Amino acid sequence: MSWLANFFISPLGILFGLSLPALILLYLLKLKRKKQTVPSVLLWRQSLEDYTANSPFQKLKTNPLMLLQLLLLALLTLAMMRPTMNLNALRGLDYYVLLDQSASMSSTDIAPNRFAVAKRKVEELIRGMGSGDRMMLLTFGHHTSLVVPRTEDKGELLSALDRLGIVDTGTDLSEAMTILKASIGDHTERSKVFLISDGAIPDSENLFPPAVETVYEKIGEGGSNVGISRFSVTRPPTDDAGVQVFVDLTRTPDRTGPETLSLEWNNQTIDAHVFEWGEERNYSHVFQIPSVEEGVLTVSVDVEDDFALDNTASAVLESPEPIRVRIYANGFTPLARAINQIPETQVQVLPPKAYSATSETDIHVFDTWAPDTLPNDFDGVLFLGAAPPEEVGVEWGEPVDYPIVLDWNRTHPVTRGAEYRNLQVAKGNRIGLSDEFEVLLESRDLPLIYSLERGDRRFLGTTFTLVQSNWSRLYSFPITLVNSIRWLEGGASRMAEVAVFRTGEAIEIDTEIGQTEMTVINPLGEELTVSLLPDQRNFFSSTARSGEYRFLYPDGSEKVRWVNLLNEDESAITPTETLAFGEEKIEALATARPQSREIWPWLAMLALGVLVIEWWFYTRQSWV
Amino acid sequence: MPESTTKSTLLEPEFLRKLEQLSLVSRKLVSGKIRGERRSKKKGISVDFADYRNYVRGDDIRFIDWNIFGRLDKLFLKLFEEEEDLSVYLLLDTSKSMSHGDPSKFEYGKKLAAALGYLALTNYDRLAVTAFSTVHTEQLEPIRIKNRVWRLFEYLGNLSCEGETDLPSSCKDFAIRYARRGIVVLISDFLDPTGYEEALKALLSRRHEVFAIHLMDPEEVDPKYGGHLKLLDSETGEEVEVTLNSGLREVYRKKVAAYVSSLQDYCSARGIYYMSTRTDFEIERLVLDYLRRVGFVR
Repeated sequence: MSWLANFFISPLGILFGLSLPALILLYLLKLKRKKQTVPSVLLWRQSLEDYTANSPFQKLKTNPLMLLQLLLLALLTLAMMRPTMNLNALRGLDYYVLLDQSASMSSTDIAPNRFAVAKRKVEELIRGMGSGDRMMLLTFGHHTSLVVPRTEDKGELLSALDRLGIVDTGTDLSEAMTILKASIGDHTERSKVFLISDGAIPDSENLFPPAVETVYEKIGEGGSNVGISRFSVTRPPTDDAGVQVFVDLTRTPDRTGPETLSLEWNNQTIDAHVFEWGEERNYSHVFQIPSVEEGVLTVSVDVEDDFALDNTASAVLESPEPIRVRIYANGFTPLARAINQIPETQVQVLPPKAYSATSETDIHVFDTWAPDTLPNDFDGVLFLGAAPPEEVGVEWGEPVDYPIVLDWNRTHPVTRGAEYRNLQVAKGNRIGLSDEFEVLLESRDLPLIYSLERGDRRFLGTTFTLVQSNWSRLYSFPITLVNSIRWLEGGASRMAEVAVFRTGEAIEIDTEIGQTEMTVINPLGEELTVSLLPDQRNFFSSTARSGEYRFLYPDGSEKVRWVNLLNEDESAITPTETLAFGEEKIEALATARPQSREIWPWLAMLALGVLVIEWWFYTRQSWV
Repeated sequence: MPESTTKSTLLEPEFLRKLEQLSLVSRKLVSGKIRGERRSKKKGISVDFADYRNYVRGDDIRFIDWNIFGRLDKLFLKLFEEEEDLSVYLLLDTSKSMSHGDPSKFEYGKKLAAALGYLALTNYDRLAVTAFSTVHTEQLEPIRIKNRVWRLFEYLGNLSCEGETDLPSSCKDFAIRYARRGIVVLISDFLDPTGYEEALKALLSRRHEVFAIHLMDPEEVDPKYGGHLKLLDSETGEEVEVTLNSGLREVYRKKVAAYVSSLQDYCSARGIYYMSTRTDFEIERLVLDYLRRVGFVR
């Protein structure tokens, strides 16, 4: 019986075989015949004698009708035992199904969309599993999810498959490969991987799938698309510079244009651009608009294509955060007044004893005094006539009287536009600088102004104090000071960059002190509660769907962040025929099927065919 | 003859008028009791000159050819063909098996008998009709005059279809009863388990000129029914179970053809004129065309 169980899902179906003797019994019963009066049976009797044999045994043996019916019942009996055909072995196989749920799978080049078709394919795979077969179901977008661990339970697999939805993110298969390798281990002979995808898998050549048979079922039949692949908004620091909106578009080969690109500000069109595609697959355009206040800036390409997700991109413009500058000085310093003239700066003057390394400040200015250690968190530090802490790497030497200005760097952002010819310094200090430093203003004996970029931190220093020079009375002083503040904060471009978020990326949450929880409403309208870690940077990472995310604060205020696809790989929706993993190339298959499948439906079909033949045979006897 | 006396429900008046132009043909010259419209082997009195012979004493001097006597001076006697009446016997099978078909073989047989009888009486032939089965054997005593044709129609109209076929005894009884030579037309389906040979022999024994007309229902020749059947013999009530498929149907068709062929061969071998017909064949065409073509009527 255990042997039977290997081949049949329902061995008890053999009980249906009892119908075979029942059929023979039916043949032993007398047939009810219709009466027909004839003039004479004389010739009929003679004909019958010629036609039939008299032996009942021979009659039973040669009755094709009964043989057909016996065959029919035997086939039905087999079918009821639900036999399976496993081409590899009696033991089942392990199937690993990787289902692509990235943004490009929402393309509608095949109805209703690629993801729905892909789900149907997976459903076919599940239904095609034979006895002993197991399946693991994974989905991948920008992350990989193990939907159902390896199981034989088709119901569980189908139920989980039914719940799956699409995400608006890019594709990253590396996690999936890691999970696969760990799951398959050494069982490579009995494992098979099904990759159900449109093939938009970036860097697949750098992925090395486990050494098992891999079937790639291509989803999609082409598709036409124009999409926004890059979008950035920059706001130069000066008020009159306006806003620059940079848009990069990509297309599928069938699109030749012309296309219209529109720019909206809070749902009102403020600019549009019509263009023709050139030879390139990409097209870039920069909108230059006057300065705008807070609101949502949306760029959209007015097309009807198979992939709507990348037709718009939005960013939220907010008032720029002030640059926090903290000046440590003994007594009066002309710096405060000068820096306050710079728009969007917030200046605080403190005595050296108020210095704290943990204070949150963008720029620290140390006037004639410097601490022993650098602050923990800062963008830039300016040392005016003070020896920087040792970790900066400046060797502070002997004073030099009246160093004479020789030359300066006219292209550096700090010294650009300034004239130092009239600068007179009463006393400076020799310093030793390594190669990573750059001298911006130099005298015959010593550097007067030096700079250093180390990671995302910037250092600027002078070897003289303001009171020992006439600099504060020269035009070069405010120019250099403004340039210094902007450079130390991160440069002009950095200051103006408006945050544009992509799906799958984490959004940093601005929290209030002591806040431990926050509610976020995602583009689907779902309210998500996010736990926050006090006194640390917090991030919100559930950004798989594109659209508007609203961060609600306890005081009733809210911040809006807009998340866009902006993924050139996903916008290129033409399905890939051949996937390259390392040096291995995998061709797309028309239909992927497990090798082990139940064959009872075929037996049942065969039985039906026999039934039709039997019917034909039976009725043929009565045909005139 | 009044018109009403010749009216019949069996035959159409138009058909009857056409029949009046025809007569039965006897290929053997037969002698009758009285002079009729048939040539006899005997030379006699008629308008048709046949031959001369020498005059002998006792001959009727009215038939001496005096013109020849004037030229040759010898007495020759003119011989004329003597016309005699012809005996026509119609034997109609009225057994139960004749009731099959639409029209039934019985109805068809009656019409055929009526037509042939009318044709005989029109030509002043002597007509006798016998209907036979195991239940009854009814006679229409010989009639000769055309204005008695109503008796023929009345007789045929009163016949019923019942009983079994017993060809041998029926024909033997007929042979005994009618010794005078003539044309015998036997109308039957010849479905007799005891065979037809004895019957035909009995008719030939009296040196009759025998015509066998074999009636068959189309369904009998090529059955339309099929499947699992219990066949019931209409005369004997005997049952035969068959599964009538195309194979058995083919065997049956061949069996019918063989039966017809053997009957035909038997008749040909014995100088019996045989003809088979299906009841869906128009009776007018049968008599006016077919029987004429084969020389049974002219």
